[in-house]
Amino acid sequence: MKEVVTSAHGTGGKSSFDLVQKIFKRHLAGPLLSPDDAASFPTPLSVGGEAATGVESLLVTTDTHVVDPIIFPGGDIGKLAITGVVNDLLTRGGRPQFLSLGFVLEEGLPLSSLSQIVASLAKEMNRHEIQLLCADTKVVTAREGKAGLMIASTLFGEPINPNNPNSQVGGCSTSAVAMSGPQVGDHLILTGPLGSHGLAVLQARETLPFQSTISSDCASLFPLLAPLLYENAKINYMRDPTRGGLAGILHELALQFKISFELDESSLPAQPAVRAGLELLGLDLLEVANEGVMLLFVPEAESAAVVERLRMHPLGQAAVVVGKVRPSRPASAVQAPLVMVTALGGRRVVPWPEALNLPRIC
Amino acid sequence: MNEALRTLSKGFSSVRIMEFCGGHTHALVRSGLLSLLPKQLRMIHGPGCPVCVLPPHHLQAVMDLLGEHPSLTAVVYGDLMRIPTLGGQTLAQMPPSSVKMIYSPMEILKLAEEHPERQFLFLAIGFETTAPATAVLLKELRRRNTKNVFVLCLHVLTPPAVQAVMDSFCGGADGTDLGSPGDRPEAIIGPGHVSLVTGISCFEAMAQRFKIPIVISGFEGSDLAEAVAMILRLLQQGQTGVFNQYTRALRPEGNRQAQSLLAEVMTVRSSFVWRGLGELPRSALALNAEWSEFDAEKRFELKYRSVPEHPLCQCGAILRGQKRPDDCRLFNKACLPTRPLGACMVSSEGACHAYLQRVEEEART
Amino acid sequence: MCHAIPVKLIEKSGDIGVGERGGLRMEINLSLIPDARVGDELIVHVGIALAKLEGESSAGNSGSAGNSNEDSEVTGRLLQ
Repeated sequence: MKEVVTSAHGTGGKSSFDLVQKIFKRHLAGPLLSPDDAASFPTPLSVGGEAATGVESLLVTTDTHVVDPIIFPGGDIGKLAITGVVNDLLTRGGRPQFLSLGFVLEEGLPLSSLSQIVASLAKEMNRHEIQLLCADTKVVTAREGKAGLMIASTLFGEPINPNNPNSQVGGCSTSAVAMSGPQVGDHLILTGPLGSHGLAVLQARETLPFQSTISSDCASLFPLLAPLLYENAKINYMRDPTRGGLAGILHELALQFKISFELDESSLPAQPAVRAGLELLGLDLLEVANEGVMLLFVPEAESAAVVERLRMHPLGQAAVVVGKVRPSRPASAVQAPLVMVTALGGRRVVPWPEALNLPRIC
Repeated sequence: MNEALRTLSKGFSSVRIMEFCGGHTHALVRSGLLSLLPKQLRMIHGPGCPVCVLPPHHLQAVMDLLGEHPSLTAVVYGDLMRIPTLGGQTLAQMPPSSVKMIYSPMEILKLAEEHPERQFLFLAIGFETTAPATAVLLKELRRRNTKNVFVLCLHVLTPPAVQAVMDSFCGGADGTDLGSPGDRPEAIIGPGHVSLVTGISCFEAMAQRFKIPIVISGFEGSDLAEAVAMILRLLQQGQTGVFNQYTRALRPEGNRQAQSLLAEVMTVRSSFVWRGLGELPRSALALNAEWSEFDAEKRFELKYRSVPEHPLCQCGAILRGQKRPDDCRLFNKACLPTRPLGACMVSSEGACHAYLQRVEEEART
Repeated sequence: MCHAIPVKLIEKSGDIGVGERGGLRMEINLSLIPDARVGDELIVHVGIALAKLEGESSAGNSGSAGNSNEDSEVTGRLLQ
């Protein structure tokens, strides 16, 4: 059978990962390509030229935003196009500064919706004092029954320097905030409850069998996490569990860093309504997308202090340790990089999310 | 709890327990209970997953029908959306106007009213738990005089499937695949939500015939732990019969309202083909003649093409508990949740799908 | 099989009720539990209430071999 792109390739699960490995990385991999969500690159100063920025390296991230519907409880694609890249840049300790945008509009999109979305995008941009450098717009034929838009955003920023925000520190390939990567024994800290973005969007798109006031957690986490970075809190690594949920991101990281994880089911944070909604639909909290939660990797000795610090901020009130990093499992073992200790005290493997979340009755 | 089960299982060298219901398989794995069970307990994952046992030729026929009738929309539960048929095509890949996913059959009433120009075909799948919802829909369709909704009744019955699995361990001469009576499950965890409708007496004959305890269980991990403990105690005492763990919801007589409604609108088919189990007599429901105006089988000409199973697929033996998923060469290689080749990988309740979430044997303590 | 969850009935009008769980509200068809009352906990499958949740003492067994309630309580204690 001829293989074609399917919607499963876009879910952030194993299919997405395989697509990137087999096609994109095969042709596009290079020495500077980052395995993380944001990359560091040398500025002219570090390659012998005139320093234009005053720092040796800058961080960059890029994201293409597609969401159906384009406006949902708690946010819209415009807000998402900024918060998404702000959070991605933050995972490498970056401060959001300069932005490039691309819009693909579908025929039939009401100008009032477009205007609302661009205003929302601008509001989020201005809140972070981000400067737009360039942008582009294209129009394409709409898909059946849909008239939406897609936004590509690329964000540049300098690394947060905990020692002195104004000095020049850092090598050409590492950010000034030194994150060593996840270490065996690290605690996994989630900054907030899981699942509300995925469920809010699903509720806005499908006719779900319930009414709720669930809204997306879509938010920039810069105000929550930048203070910790400036204070030089001991954070070994950060990633935001967006598409593919917590399970998806942990599976990727297990491959990237050759480690495994153990999650504690009883500690997983979620609002009761989100939990009930997912239960009703037969969906898995670990596989649902988040847009305002960060996963931190913190040495065990520091984790209580980091959790306490996070809880001082409104966005971090539900911060909690949900698991820990374990050594890579022996090659002979069944592929199980992610194991959950259940509320009953048993253990189970959490598989790599495979396909779209669909409600089920059985 | 672990200790209690360990204590209870002392004195048994091995115990084979079949949980019939896919929901139980799912819960056993999800709750981690499977990893806690003493080693001498062997759980046999039964065929109680309606999506798994639905032969794909029904879906193929509906897809073909959609191609012939542009004004027809198939209405399905989410579970069916990703089931591959010939060429790997799924309902999820069909245009949104051709396929509508629902959570409750009651949503169809609104769809039909809002789109009088379209016709709707409801794929009514599921065991006795789900069949009453279809019956409630039919009553409401008649009350409202709705003319543009048709039901393809594919509901299946639990007792014949349990019976078929138990019978397959007869050591018969007619098949090399058949297990011996010595491999037969010594106890069954019975389906809690099916029994809410049917009551528990329908399992009585089976318990007596095979001289086993059948414990009907709820769906929490703690329910299942208690059901297993009950089974061990009953086996120790040599008791047979049907027992109720799910007492907080399950009345022994079931739901009489639902039973009489099912009798009013449906009739038992003389036989029905189950994926993995083959043709079983009196194992499925159809709409009865009184309701033929809503019967998709009467209204449309459904053309059934054969959709062959993969020659290496072991689902039949796995559904009967005679093989384990990792005995199959396709398992987790050619056969994956994203492109299932056999019944047991199709849904998260299938034995093979659930097996992917097991903590490997060597990690069990 | 047969994914069903407990829901609390908070409104009732004929065969149609409103159920609540974790702050979510959903429409429930009550035609199979006609005596459902506001405040009851119901087991709901595909939008249809199938049973009422009650105290542990409400059900027995088919009677072929002893009292399963007793068994259930004993093992329940054993498991604690």
